[in-house]
Amino acid sequence: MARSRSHQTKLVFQAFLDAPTDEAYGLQIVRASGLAAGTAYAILRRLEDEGLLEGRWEEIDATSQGRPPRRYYRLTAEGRRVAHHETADGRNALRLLSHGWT
Amino acid sequence: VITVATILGTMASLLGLWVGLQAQRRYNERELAHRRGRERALQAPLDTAQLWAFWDRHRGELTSSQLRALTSNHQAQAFLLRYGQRLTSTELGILADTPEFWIGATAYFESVDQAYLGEVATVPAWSLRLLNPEDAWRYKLEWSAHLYQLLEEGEEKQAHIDRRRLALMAIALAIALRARRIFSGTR
Repeated sequence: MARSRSHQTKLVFQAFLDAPTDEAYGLQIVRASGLAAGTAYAILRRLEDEGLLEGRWEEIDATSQGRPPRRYYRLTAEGRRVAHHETADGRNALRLLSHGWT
Repeated sequence: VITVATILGTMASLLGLWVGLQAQRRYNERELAHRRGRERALQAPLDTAQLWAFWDRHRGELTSSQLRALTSNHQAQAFLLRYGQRLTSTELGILADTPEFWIGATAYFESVDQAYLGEVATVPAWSLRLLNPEDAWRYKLEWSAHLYQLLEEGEEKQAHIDRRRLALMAIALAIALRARRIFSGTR
């Protein structure tokens, strides 16, 4: 049986699907999903551990750039499939509501 | 004429092969001597200057045990202060397995807090203590990048709010990750 995902997780999935590039770092996801920072990072970690996201460190010389490297995430093939499935439920519900359950 | 040409051609090929093999053998011997010399040097006690010179010279060629040897002589803090920001994630992964690394790394985190990022751009060190060393390092960097960008964009108030939230989340995350590892049978 497919597990039920929280509303917050669906927001993170939607943020990835809406992202202009296929990679996004933590703060971008926090802003796009509207979630609190702590919540978003916990979800990113869980999805990464489940193999739905893959992460990589930005390859910069932190000393010359003067800032710490970002961690970029992208949906895996399975992650993309699950994200589409999970967000489709939400879209269907909105469609039903907007049509007055007709 | 054809027979003589064939014989000469065969002799030339054999000579070329012999020269090639000799060159390869010499190269292998030199390489072996070089590697043995490096291993001997690593086994010998190194002072700080030698240690750093060694790292500069052999960066990228060191094996994981050699990398560990570089930081297991109580010089991890000094080492990280000099090289910490330039370590690759693979090198960090190897170093993260060394307990001595973390003795120096704690002091390093504090010095980075003060000198490099400023207090607001890092989560408080206490909040990362429940996480295992690899996760502590990961979130230290990842959340510093988050807070640093907020500060860069002038969102100081949001940086303060997120810093508090992330510090609290670190504790919850540490518990969740430990529970997940226990239930999945990994440590």
